[in-house]
Amino acid sequence: MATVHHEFMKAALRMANLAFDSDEVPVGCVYVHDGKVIAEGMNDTNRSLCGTRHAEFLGMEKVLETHPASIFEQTDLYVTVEPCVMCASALRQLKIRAVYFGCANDRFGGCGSVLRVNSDPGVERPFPAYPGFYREEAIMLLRRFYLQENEKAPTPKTKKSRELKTDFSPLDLGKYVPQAEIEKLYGKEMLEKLAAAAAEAEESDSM
Amino acid sequence: MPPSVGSSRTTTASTAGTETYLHHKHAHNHHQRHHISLSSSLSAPGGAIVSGVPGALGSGKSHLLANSSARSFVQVKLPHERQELELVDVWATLIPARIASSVISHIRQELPNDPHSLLHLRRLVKETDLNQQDGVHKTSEHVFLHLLICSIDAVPSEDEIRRTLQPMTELAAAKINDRRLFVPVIRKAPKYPALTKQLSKEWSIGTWPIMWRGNPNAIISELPSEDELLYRKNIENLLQLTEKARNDGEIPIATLIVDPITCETVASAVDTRNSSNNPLAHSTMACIAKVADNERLRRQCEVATRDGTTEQLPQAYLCHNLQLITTHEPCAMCSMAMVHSRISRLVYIKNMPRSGGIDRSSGAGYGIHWSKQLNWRFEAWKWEGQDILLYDIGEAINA
Repeated sequence: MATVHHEFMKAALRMANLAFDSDEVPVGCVYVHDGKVIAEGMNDTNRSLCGTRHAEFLGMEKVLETHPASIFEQTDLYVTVEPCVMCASALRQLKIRAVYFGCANDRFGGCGSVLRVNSDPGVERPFPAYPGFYREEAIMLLRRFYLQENEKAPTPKTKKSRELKTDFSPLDLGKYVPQAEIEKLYGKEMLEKLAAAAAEAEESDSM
Repeated sequence: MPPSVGSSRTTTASTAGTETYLHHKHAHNHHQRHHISLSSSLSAPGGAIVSGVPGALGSGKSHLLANSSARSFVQVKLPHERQELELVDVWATLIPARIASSVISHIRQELPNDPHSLLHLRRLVKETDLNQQDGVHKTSEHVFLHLLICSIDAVPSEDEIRRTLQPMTELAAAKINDRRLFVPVIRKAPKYPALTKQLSKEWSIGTWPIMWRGNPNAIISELPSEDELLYRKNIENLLQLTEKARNDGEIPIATLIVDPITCETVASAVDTRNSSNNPLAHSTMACIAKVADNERLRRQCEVATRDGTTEQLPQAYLCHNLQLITTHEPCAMCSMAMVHSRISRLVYIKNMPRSGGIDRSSGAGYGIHWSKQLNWRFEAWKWEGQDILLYDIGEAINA
């Protein structure tokens, strides 16, 4: 089901592609207010030599060039990869309304994968974070990027690490989104897909 | 900015700052200065207490911080999760205390290496300390001790234990006759050392007792004294920065990044979220960005001036090998920014119980500097020395 969220995520993916072409880890984002993109951002850590220049921060600074910080309370973020712990805390401090992301970030994810900075007890109110919008596209961009990095490395790694994987492990949606919200956000098909995947997993467990 | 404690420049700036503070006292009363118990040594003469530490430092009291010999930092590093007690079966027996050392050296020689490390367990336990199963036998005037022999996994056969103990029975038997002596008994012992003294005590009830030797993960170790001195000096610089921030209408939080090898300050910043309209303009983020700016500039200059003869300087990688000193426990954003930047050590003065990302008792208890799940760890040290006067920034602030 292509939702309005997919449309905005497409815009975020364009930014991620731009990052890819600039030799940056391909992560892109857009901030959406009143149904309109008000700022775009892409990763900039390599050029800036600064490990904190994530897409979310570049986009956020662009928003602030023309808006007061209070606009974030009515603004959603679409980002191709789950915000890291730093960005999740930043977004919470900005009082972002909601975050939609593509793929999970198993190493640094701050919206459910490693920590739950978006929903844990904290000073500011929590924000919801929904995964899975153009997830496979986001993952493939990252895989292509790291493959290219390996090829550039002075001592190329094993051949296996130079092969582009195209299979995807299933997304554990329940880890990030309350059951009650899944249908509203992802459609009935997603619920059916999840139920089928759960049944399959159970079957393979009992074998 | 190199540490310039007590210089005339510092004195002037800080005195001026004090006056401004007093002047605008009412306008900014939401940033009331914390009058944490002033130690007598810190109160400046002539009732200058109201100006707080930065003033006191400026008026020649700066060396109080720098010269105190007591160790003032504690490492913020707590056990990750609650440990569960696991048990292992061990052979034990009762021996006369008089020959304990001979028995121990004998079984050390005779028995194979143990597959379990039992170093955390007490080798000898007084009869009265281990009476849960035996009841107290007030046998004779002889003192008996329970001896830990080895794990069952090391020697499964009771006969072999008996054979090993046999020569020892002859050593003792002439004088003492107790049928329990040298009889191998199976007992339960904690398999692993406990991470805390308290846990170690709990686990020792009803099992073979643990010897608390401390645990490297739980020990509060000391900073080398030269580091301590460096941080003390830099804390004075931080306090001057907060004074200025406060006068500029900013939240009085300040941060420095130092190179511990050269002792140089490579970046300094104060919080600017009030003036910048950016809620994320925290001093830690600003300092990290400045380090990157410096390195970019340095590389550009290097490219511009390279004539083929000069040797290329090694390139700095993010904040690797740099240390960050700040007034307040950093929030989760800033703590994670330090992970991303490969900071080697964090030093801070005050915990932020609601918003901090470091101390296990702060915020959601992340302990980001020491999280097993993240790909970089750094040390965190918190000031625990005599009270330092910081402005009260309120609990709901993310520092």
